[in-house]
Amino acid sequence: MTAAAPTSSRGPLLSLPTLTTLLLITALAAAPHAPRLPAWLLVLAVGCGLWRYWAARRGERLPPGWLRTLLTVGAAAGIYLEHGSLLGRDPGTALLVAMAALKLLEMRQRRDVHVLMYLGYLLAATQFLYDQSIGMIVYLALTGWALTVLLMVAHQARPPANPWRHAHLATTLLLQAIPVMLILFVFFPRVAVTR
Amino acid sequence: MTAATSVLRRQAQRWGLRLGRRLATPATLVYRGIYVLPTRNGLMFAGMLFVLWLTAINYGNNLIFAFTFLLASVALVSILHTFRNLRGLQVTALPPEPVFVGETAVFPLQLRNDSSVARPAVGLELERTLIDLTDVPARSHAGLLLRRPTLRRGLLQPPAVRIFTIFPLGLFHAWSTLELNQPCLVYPAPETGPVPLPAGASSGGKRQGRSGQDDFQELRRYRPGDSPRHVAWRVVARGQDPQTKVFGGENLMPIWLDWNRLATLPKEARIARLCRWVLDAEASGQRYGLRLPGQEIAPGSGAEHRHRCLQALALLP
Repeated sequence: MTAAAPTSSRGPLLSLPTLTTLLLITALAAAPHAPRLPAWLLVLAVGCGLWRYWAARRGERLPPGWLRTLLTVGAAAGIYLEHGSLLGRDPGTALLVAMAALKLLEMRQRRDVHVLMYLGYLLAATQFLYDQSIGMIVYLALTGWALTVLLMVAHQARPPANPWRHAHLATTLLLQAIPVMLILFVFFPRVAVTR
Repeated sequence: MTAATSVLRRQAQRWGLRLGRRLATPATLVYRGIYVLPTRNGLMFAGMLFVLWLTAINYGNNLIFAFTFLLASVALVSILHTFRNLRGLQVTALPPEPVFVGETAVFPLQLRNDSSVARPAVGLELERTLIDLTDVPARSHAGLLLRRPTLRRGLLQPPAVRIFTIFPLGLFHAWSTLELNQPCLVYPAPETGPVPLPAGASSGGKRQGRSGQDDFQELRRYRPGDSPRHVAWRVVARGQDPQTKVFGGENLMPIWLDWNRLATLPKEARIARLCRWVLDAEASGQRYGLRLPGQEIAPGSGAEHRHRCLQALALLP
């Protein structure tokens, strides 16, 4: 794609408060998966998050491309060894966590930020495969709301300094979306899967 | 057969016309002038929803269905918000300041928001490149700037631009194409190097050794553009209307900057020299007139006069 210009020439993609919020919300979306993840993946995910925070705090460069590739291949191989597959519920969510963690180290363009947000939505939604309690529904609805607030800030060419600036608008959007969701929920065709 | 194709073509033309619809400034962005399409991020979002939908089907999970449909609905509702972020916005192209060839022409746009809702992240886009971006607060206005290089003297017409927004979620891109009806006047580039001014009309003699400030004649009302050195500051200090000192020397000996006396030079070189002379004459506080083919600007001085002379030079065919 486009040549990756050094971040220093364009300034940081996101302000430090926005990036910190992004890290926290990604962690929020991934956290309920934690008890089922292998220990090494947890270490990798937390490590990537801390690395990203530290790099942003100090204005350091992100790790080079070959290291990210190595970590990606390594994580995928590890998950395969663990589960004997990359598809299915458990390896699938583990893979999502690994992808989100490694994407943290690759936020060069605005598109990368978007990918991370979408991974956040996927992480939140897949939690319903394990837990459908009322508490979890509330927790994940809040996570989805927070991701939407952040999406409003992160896509802007000049993001506002305060990541919560459009919080009320995200609430409005979600409330306005609920009736549409109910219609879709009732009328959208569902393909029956025969097992 | 041919009738059918011509109908089709006419239809396509109508479509092309509709899609290419441009608003001329000053314009209010109206319903029919705003277009909305998904952004690349919007398509990616749709891809994510598809993955979620497949997951929901595969596991027959109603909560994932609900989550997927909620996100899809948020995206759908966001189209209206994106649209509303532009609709009713009033865009005016303000007259740009004249510049010299080689300088950057700056075309200012004013965005007026009469509604009670702020419009964040409204941008200006040219050939799909972001030029400028601003927030327009409620019941207020904001500005956007389009910068263009200048290569030729004369009137520089700004290109058609897009006012756009992808707020709030960045999934949809709404835009209006605008013709900016305010060209920028581009003065010619002045000649560089030592180019002495031509002698006054009465061919020197008395000019030597006269600073042009000796023969005080009278006071007249201050006019914008008068040299500050000639303002009667004592009058101003007394609290009266500012007056300008008029000197006899100035009135007596205007310089004529004459096109026909530069017959040896090619056309653009003449223009460059006359331009330089206008600037120099103005800077030294003298009165000067300009003779060009088919027009003559009577002697005068001040910013207004300088502008008239430079404009005449810029607009020479």
